[in-house]
Amino acid sequence: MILKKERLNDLLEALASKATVYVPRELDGQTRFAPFAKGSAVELGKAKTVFSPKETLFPQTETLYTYAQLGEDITLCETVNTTNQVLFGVRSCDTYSIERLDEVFLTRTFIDTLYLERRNNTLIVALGCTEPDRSCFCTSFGIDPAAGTGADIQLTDTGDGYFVEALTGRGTEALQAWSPFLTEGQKTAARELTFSLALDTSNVKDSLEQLFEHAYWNDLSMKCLGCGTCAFVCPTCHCFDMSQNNKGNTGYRFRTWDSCTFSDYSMMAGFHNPRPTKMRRLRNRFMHKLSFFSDRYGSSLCCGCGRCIELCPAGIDISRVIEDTSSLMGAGAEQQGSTAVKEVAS
Amino acid sequence: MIAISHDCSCETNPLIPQVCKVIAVTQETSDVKSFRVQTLDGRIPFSFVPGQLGMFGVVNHGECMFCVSMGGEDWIEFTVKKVGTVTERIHQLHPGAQVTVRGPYGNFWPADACKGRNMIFIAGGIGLPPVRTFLLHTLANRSDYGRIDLVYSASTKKDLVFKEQLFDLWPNEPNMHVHVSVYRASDDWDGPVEFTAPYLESLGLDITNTTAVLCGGPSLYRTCSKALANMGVSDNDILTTLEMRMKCGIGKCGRCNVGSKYICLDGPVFTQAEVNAMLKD
Repeated sequence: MILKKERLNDLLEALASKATVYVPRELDGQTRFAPFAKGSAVELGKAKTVFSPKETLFPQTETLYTYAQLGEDITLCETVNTTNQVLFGVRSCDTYSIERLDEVFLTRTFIDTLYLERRNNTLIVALGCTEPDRSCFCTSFGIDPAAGTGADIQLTDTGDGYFVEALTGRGTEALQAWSPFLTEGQKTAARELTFSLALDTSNVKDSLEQLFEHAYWNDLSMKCLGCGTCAFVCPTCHCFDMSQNNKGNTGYRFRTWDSCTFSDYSMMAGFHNPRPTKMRRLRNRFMHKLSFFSDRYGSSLCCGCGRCIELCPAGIDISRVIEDTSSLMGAGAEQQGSTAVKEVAS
Repeated sequence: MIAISHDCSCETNPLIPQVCKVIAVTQETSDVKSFRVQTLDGRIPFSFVPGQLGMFGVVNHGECMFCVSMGGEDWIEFTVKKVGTVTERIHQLHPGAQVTVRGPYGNFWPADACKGRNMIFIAGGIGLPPVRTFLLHTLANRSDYGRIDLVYSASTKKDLVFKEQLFDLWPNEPNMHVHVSVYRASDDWDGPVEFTAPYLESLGLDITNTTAVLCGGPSLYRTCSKALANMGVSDNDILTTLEMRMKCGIGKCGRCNVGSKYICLDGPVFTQAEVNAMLKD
């Protein structure tokens, strides 16, 4: 079935009457997934949004529970998420990332209830890429930019419309409500995409582990500002902090996104910090993306969306880290004791 | 090789604590107190296995992860040193105060795998409460274990926790030997004045069929694991409990990783061999 582009807004309007429909929109000069409102411009043509759709499932700040104190007595009230939502126009890099978030929050003994509630109430509509950005390198991680794994419905641009296909039972069910807006039509042959960044990531995990003590991390971390931008725009970064906000005898406990490059991220009471230097923090970040996550979950935590490359104010580029470590390995750097990592106070 | 098993489960939202009440407070040293807590209807907040962790907090000040230091039929106890914002506030708690508790988290001391072995427990300062959970288990199941040695040190005599057990109860346990040293002498101390590692080596303990259990600050851990190696204890026979900053306790918030291990899920208990295999921070 085909959704003609001129019917897109009608469809979104219909969907928005039943659920919150997140679409790529430009707000304050930056694109992000924001609720569709009648008349709002939908930015489906750009390869990726500045902010990932992560915030629709794992909000930047989220209340865990509220509390009230009356004398000695304390009562807690849990937060429950019941809003239905549709993520519309999600690219393959981001559906891959949602699959990784699912693994983090929904597997390994404990289930994150708030994430589960949002995830259960979310329909994901993927959109195949037609024009990658220069910072895009999802194919280097084996991701197909035309097919969003983990999505419920896949859209493919056919020029004047989108070919629509359900990928899950939930998607098939949802498409019933779409039928008034669809017309008969065939999928056009996928266009061959050209990526300016194509990396060999097959050995990156081994390379990083073997170069763990290499001075490369020193040089790289010198320019890191520890600003956390990379983590905040990253679709897979899931680290969070927990804190509380008091208002007299009441308040709420909440979680917020955090970044392992922040200096107090792992600071413990008594000022003991296992990662006291920028070098250790930045190295941990790249190790987590490209090695540690793979140990636990068997996949890369980098999806090659390139958002951190676009936005790092110091020009730290994960694709270059992959290339640099690969060429250092080629040069036999892991054998050279003289280049051992040095600690620089920061 | 000792296999460390894992047994965590949670039926409700694991980040929402239970409201509990403090039923007893014990002043252990000038800056260490033990807090006995139970649910508002008088039950144990959660059952735990010695070595597991619990998140203990004050609702409007936050929560911190501690090793559960002891448990009874209808209570658990946390032994807390006053070192930061939350622990300062915890130290102000009195019996009857309501607190938040969630857990249990993490793995536990491999008590079954150590049956039939001699045990050396080694701790420094506030490292004794986690070690004591295992020690109390061996004493409660005395016939399962051989000779028991406890090597414990603190900065000064007044910083030694659980003094009554150290000096009055444990020395009278059959086949148990208590060795206590301090780092700085004082007029009321006539025992050894020595750092833990050299003191441990000087004791000349027999290490055949022996498991060592170790908990202390980073320097104690470094020096004592070396001392144990010098004594001939294999890395598979050294157990330790690691500490990292934790927020969620359930392997989601990412904070407590050492390499690809999460201390809250894969730990806190590791063998020295497992620690050696981790990529250092």
